[in-house]
Order: sequence, then C-alpha cells, then structure tokens
Amino acid sequence: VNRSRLGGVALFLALLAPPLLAQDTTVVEIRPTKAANDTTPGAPADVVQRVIAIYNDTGTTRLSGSFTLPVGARLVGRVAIFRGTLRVNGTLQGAVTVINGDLIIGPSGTVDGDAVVVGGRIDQRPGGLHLGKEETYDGLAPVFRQPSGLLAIRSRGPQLGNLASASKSFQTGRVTTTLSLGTGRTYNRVEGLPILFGPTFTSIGPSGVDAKFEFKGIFRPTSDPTKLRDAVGFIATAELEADSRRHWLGVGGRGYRRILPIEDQPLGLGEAGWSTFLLQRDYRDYYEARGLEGYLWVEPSRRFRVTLSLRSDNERSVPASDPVSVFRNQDAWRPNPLIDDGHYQTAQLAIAYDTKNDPLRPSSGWDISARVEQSQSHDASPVGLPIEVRPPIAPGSAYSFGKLWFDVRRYARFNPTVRAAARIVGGGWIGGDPLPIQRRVSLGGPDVLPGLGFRDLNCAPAGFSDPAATSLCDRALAVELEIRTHIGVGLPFRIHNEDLATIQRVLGIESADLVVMGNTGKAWLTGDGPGRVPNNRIPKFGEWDIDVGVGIDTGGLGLYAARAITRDEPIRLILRLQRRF
Amino acid sequence: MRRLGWILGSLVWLAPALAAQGGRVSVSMALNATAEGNGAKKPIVYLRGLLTDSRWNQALDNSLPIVINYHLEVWRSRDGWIDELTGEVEWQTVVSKEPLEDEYTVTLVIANRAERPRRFALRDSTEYFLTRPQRVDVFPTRAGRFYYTLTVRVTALSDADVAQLERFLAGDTDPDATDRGTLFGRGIRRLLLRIAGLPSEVLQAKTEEFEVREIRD
Repeated sequence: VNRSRLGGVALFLALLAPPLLAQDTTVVEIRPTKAANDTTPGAPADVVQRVIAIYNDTGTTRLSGSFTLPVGARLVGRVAIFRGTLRVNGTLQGAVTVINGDLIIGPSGTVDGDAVVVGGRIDQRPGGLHLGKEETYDGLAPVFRQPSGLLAIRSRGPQLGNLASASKSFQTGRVTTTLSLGTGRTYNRVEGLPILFGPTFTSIGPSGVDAKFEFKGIFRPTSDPTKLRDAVGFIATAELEADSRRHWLGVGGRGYRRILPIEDQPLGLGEAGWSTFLLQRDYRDYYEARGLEGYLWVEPSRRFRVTLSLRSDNERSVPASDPVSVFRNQDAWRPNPLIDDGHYQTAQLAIAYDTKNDPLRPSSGWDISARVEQSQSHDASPVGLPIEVRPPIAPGSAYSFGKLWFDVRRYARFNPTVRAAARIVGGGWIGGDPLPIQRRVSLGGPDVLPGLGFRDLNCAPAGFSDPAATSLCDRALAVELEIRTHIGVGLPFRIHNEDLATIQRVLGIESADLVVMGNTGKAWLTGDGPGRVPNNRIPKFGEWDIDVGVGIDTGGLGLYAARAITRDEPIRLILRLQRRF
Repeated sequence: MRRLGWILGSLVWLAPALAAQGGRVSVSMALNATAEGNGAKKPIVYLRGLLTDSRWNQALDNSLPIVINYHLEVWRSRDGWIDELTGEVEWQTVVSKEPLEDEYTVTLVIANRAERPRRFALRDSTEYFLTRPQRVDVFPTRAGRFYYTLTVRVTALSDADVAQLERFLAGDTDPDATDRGTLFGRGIRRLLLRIAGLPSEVLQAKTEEFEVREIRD
C-alpha cells in the first residue's frame, strides 16, 4: 500500500512538475530601454598584449582547450589557458591567465595566485578559494593560436561585401589616414565598373569640429574610342562637421571630374548596375561633370537634413563604351544621348525627411526628398531638338532655367495584415529658358509605370527617330499605390531536389508578400502651343496613363506582372531586386 | 527578362508540389495574462524549433553563428483608417558554436549592449534556453485598441560578419559603420552568401488586439 501511495505521489509530482517549472524558470524579461547589466567591455589593447606575452612565455604552463584540475591534485607555477574552461577542483599554486574562456573554482578548489580572465568570467563556487587578485574582461580577445602553439593578434580579414576592395588605416596624432582601393559599386555602359582609389584623412578636432579630406581617383577600365572622356576622373572633398558626438552641421567643398546620371530613375543605382551587368540593359543616361562645388548642410534631427550647394560645372557629353555583360553581350548598347555641353553655374537647395520604421522594409512613416535648382550658362551649345520639343537656341547665348524634383513616399498599415504604400514623384521645369537635355525627364519602365515600356512617355514627337530614347519632357508626375499582405505559406520550401534547392538558395527566396499595385503618371511638354500644357496647369487626369499589376515580393527579389489599361500594351513581367519603393 | 520571369514564377508556384515540409523554426506571440494598471498587456514572444531545423543546425556545425533579430512594433488600431505605429523595440540573440570545445554560446544583445554570453555543452540545453518565452517590457500607455507585430530575421553569418560580430562583442557599438554600403555591394554579398548556401529566414507574428483604458489621476 505504501509503495502504491508513494507511486501515486510521485506520479502527481511528475504531472505537476512541468507547469511549476514553467512558471518560475522559463520566462525571460526583455527590457529594451535598458542596456544589459553585465555589458561586455572589450579588453584594452595593452591587456591583450600582456596576456599574449604571458601565454607565450616559456615559463608558463600552456593549456589549450578545457582542462579540469581534479580534487587532490596540485599544480605549481604560472598557468595560461586559451579557448577553454579551466576548472580548478584541486590546488593551483601560481598565477592564472584565461584567454577567451572561464575560470571556475570548484567547492574544493584553491587558486592562490592572481587571475586574469579575458573574454570570460571567474566563477567561484561556494567553498572555493581564491587568494590572489582578480582581473576580468568580458569582451573576447582578438587572438589566434599559431601552428607553433603561440598566440598572436588576429587581424580582421576583408568583409565579404568588400572583397573587391582594400583599405589600410593608420594614425598620426589626431589624424587618421585611410588608403583605399575599391569599385564604384555600380556598373554602367559609359564607365563599366569604375575603380576608386586614394586617401582619406579624418581629424577629430579638439573643439568638437571634425575635419575630413578625401581624394578619390576614378579609373574607368572601358576604353572610349571617341576620346571624348578621360580614362581617369577624380573627386576631391574637404569637409568640416560640427559636434563629434552627432554631426548636425557641415560645410565643405569638392572638386570633381566624374560621370553623373541624367535622371536617378527609373531604377536606383544598384538595380541599374545589375541590369546593365547581367542583361545589357542600362536604364540610365550619363554625362561628365568637371567642376567645383561648395555646400552647407544642417541636420536639426537625425531624420531631417537641409543642404544648400553652389557649383560651377563644365558638363560634357560622353559616349557609351562597350563593357562586357553576362547576357546579350553581342548586342550593341543603347547610345548615350548627347547633352547641351557647356559651363553651368547652379544653386541647389535639397531637403530629406525620413521617418521610416525600417530602411528596407518600411511599414510606417514618411520618406520625402526634394530639390530645387536654379542654373545658368553663357556658353552652352544646345543640341538641335525637334521644334515641337524646344525651339532652337543660339549657341553661346545667355541661358538660365529652374528645375524642381520631389519624391514623397508614405508607408502605413491598415490592420495587422495589410500594409499600404503611396508615392508621388515628379517635377521638372519651373522657370526660365527651356531645360537642357541633361535636366529633362521621362516616365515609363520597370519602376514608375511598370506596365509601360522603357521611356514610353519621353515626349519624342511622332516620326522622331532616336535610338537613345532620350528623355525630352519638361515635366513629369506620377502616383503609385501599393497594397501588400503577407502570404500565409512559408518560404523557402524544403526542396529535396539538389538542383532546385541550389536555385532556391541562390535566389534567396524568403517569406513572401503578395503585392497589388496601381500606378498613374504623365510626362509632358509645358508652355504655350500645340501639344503643350500651360505652365500653370497639369494635364487632365483623363490624359494620364494608368497601369495595374500584381506581384510577389520575397524580400530580396520581386516578380511583378503589370499591364497598362489606358493603351493597348502586352502584360509586362518585371523582376526586381529590391522593393519598388 | 520575360522568359526568366516565367521560370521564376513557375518555380515559386511549383515549389509546394516539390517540397516537403520538415522541422522548421517558428515564432509566435501571446499577450501576458496579467494586465498592467491601464489594462495593457505586455507581449510574450515564443521562438521554437531553431535547433531542430536542420538548416540552422548545419550552420552552427559549420561554425557560422546564427543571429536572431527581433523587431517588435506597437500599433494602435483605428478601425476604418490607417493604424498608428506608436512604438518599436529591437533586440538580438546570437547563437554560436565553438567546434573545438563543442560548446554553444548564446548572447543576448539589448539596447546595443551584449549580455554576458551563456555557454552550453549540449544542443538540447541550448534549444531549451532559446525557446524560453520572452516577455518584452513594452506596452502602450494611451487609451485605445492596440496590438503588437513582430518580425524575426534569422541569419547565418559569414566569416566576415563573424569578425564584425566579434568586434561588436568586443565593445564597438557601431559595428555596421563601415559596412552600410550600397545596394550593389549588399547585393554582391547577398548573392555570394546564397551561393555559399547560408540560410536566412524572416518570420512574422502578431497578437490579438487589446483595450487600453485612460487612467485619470
């Protein structure tokens, strides 16, 4: 009877135990506003050097890996251990050094020397004795064990994203000098893959003003048979920034000879580079700017910045080269359009306001950027354009114009599952003479209005043949709306076929959003005359192009189908490497 | 590009037929049973199955630390209108394995500070530690209907990222400073990581809505 009662109690306890344990042992409190109590200060460099010297000393008993000194055992002399737990249950007579490991002094253990622990902790159990001094540093020591068994400082290798770059820094007094060599981090049909190289000097000022001087040479590996552009360019920048803790004010100047895009749409720098390199489709046009610029920026908060700049440029046409592409390498590149060459003096005011809750996958907040510029030239050589686009301008005549460009994005969540995003992007001529080629705009293509072809709205008059598909419009305005919801099924699926699994890994398919989108936009010539819209008006909505589409956004990769509903166009499939906006 | 698009589309839609679901990491959320003074309830986060998922096991066995990044948002529900984001918090858990020691290390990183790493000799012990519910000390103080959303990004780090992580654990509070890069640079790294077969996963969860009362003094 007793045995059965005991069994019943045991069974009751066994049934009760999990909930009891669950109540008092399993919940972790996360207090996001407070830093952890036991933070991990890194060991100072001199301490790391000291423990390495101790470990490497021939008078030290070196241990690598975990080691237990058993009860009753005695170890005499200096001991050092690397990457392991030293458990002392016996007696250790001498100093102890532990590198990237723990020292545990058991109930029967005694350590009668000083203990230094870097990258670990000292755990003295009840009954354990430590008679010397303690010195602990939680941060891991950046050391490694050489084939000889001795330790050395580990130098950090280059990061994977910077495999194609190298840099070396050294300090002289207050000045840090960095020599770097890397790519321009994009790919285009004018320069190919530009290589940037040169020094950067930064100085932390005594009165809270930091200074930076940077010189970057730009080597363009693709040849230019026309010799219109140089094989080498440069950007030299000098800047002063106020307040070392948080830079909120900066003033600087730069000189440059560089290739710039005419429009920074339809695709961003990264996607345009990939498209050029892989598919031989460069969605941007370029010109060369040689000049000087002075600028001042103010950042009242981390989310808001205002920049004022003045620059004087010699803007020049550059031809497309013939860089290599993975696919369609035999095809000819789309010509890079001629621009209105000349010297331009430009004043520009730019603002940026960003309250997004996530830089890559926002679901709330604003992202606003806008810039307005006033520019003039006394020696511009305007390209001859169809009269419908721009009346002839005499070369060398005084020439001035103003341009505005804005991009307003709003992200919101309707309910726990449905998110929405809206974007209004546009701008163009706001005053003065007609815009030069390098300030004109267009719409259509894979980003804004994806249901239309590349630059379907570029204001080229009927019958005007232009293989470069140059942007010729004075103004453009587009509105994009997007609703997205998370797809219930999880991705990636567990694929057992090795080939398919490899494809899935390379594509990086993660969890997916279903995206429904609608876009509308119009690009037009402004002014008086046939086919133009008066300066103080925008086109009637009935004249705007509209497209709708649906897609799957898998985090790093998006596949969309879009179709124009205001014109007879086929359904277009668009592959994106990032969110649309 | 269209042909490529069709291939990709087919892959996405055919994948379920080709796939067999195995043990997968998952995340869920619940509301704390005990309400605060104003009726608000703190969120509790549950992460399950990380180390029973073979992809993450393999990553650990290959000495690649796993970073679990939790991003929790507090939303105010406004029926018929856009919900309002009223707060957000973020923390990380880093899991690594020292192959020579055959030990697991778990480090909690809160407010850009790393706690003392916890070491485990057994995978089961590590899994048990990781699956403990995490009660997040955040709740709305205004009146209204609220809910929480959670995005958990689980990634295996590259060797270079390991160096970055170690730099962070060594006290550098801004380890990303030199690696923000451009989309092109990130794209290269992403592609290489994929080719290398390193897993990455984003999980999402949300709670039910709850009412918060206004407290008057």
